[in-house]
Amino acid sequence: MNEELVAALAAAVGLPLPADRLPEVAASLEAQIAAGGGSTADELEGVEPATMFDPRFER
Amino acid sequence: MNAPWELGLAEAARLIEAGELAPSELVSSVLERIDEVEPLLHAFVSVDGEGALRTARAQDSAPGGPLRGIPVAIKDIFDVAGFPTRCGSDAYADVPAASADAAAVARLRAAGAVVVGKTTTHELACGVYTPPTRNQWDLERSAGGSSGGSGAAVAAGAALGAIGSDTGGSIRIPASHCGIVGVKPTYDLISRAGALVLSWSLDHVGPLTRSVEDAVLLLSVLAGVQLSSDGDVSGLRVGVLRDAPFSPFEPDVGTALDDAVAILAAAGVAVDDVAVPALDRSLSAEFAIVAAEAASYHEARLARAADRIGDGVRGLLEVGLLLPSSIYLRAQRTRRALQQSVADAFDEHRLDALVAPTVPAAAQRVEQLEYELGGAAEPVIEALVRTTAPFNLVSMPTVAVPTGIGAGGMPGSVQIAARPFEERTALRLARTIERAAPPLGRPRGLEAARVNPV
Repeated sequence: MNEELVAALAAAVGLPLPADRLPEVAASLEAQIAAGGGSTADELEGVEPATMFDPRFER
Repeated sequence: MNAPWELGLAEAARLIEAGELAPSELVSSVLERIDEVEPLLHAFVSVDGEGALRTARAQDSAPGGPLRGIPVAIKDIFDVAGFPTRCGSDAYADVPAASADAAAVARLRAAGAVVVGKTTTHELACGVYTPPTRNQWDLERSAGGSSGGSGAAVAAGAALGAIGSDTGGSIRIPASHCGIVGVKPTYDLISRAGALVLSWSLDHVGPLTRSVEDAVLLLSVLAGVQLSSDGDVSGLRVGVLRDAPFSPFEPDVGTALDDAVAILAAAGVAVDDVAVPALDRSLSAEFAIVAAEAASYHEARLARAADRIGDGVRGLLEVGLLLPSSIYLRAQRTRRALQQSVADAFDEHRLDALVAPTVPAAAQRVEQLEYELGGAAEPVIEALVRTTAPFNLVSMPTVAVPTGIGAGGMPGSVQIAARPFEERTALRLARTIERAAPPLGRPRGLEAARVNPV
């Protein structure tokens, strides 16, 4: 994860990211991606995400 | 005779109901206590002494609900009508006063509780320090976070109970640090309406109190169900979690866990070590979910006022906004896998509950960034959250209960986690530990400052 890529991503999603924050954000983002959200894709095959949607109009 | 602020919440409620204590007498005493300890603890962002006294006086001669005249404090991420909800952040410094109470606050008031003030939170409910709040057991240490003000206030008698939020331990960490009881109920048992969001899927609302009995009363009102911690625990089966992510931990923490296990065993509970290795994946899943959801919630604010958010929290939000959706969804799928692993362990061992260290170390010093655990340096936030987050991810009702004072002079704590919606089981087991654990005694931080301690 390099700073140029992070800067481009930030610009694409409309996140104002000053240049002096790029090193910290790049390092943290790389660490988060490396952590992989917990388990690997192989380990999670067949496991559904814990998301839900309530279809009722009145809540 | 003890001052009214020293009373437990349930005991005070009984005295008021019996006509032996006036709400205004109790609220006055708590307000005096706030004046006494607040210069040292910095637990409140605002105190509504005048409003609290007015409300209490109106209750002196009127019947009321189960919390009639009980002074409570509200973490400053919940809306309280007439007061701004500043969430511990400059980014919220200019918000107008809330026009209505958050659902949890409304429940408390409808039961007769008197809001004495709003308590500090780590910025945006995202952190474990809650500056400038201090810990009554050692004023150089943190009260924990993010519900640090609620923990510090209740521990010192500056409120008889408080509410907080727990997304990855934010009720249980302050409870452990401050030597009080903290309950993270089952997900959605208590409404989150009118509260700041950190993570839609992981936020839990719950009480902080000085005893399990007090927690039962507050939780019953907040959830709208009648709970209890009464009942025999003999015959229950409890699994002890000692492996990662609950280890490594400080020696005092191991002693606290052993003491709690011995108490449960003496009460007839079948206690045995169990292993749920999958829980070691919790921290990565927790951080990915919180980063992504918090960033989404704050996206507009981040675009227009990022420079008003502290660097630590701002960094998490920035990363969360850039995190690939594949990582977020992998974390949500990991969560489901963790839930299945825990359910399997409950079935395999015929468990009623789990017991684990609430946190792996005593309260950090306010400037401390790392613990030394297991021969390695570990960031404080990772250490504290790795033991609490598993029960947010699986959303089991979890009660943090004090176990006594450790050799290092700070309170110890274990957490009891039961099956979803089995709050009663966790509360019963916590009450059993509480009854047999040595009393915490007088908080040396306030003692040293020559303030009358709890």
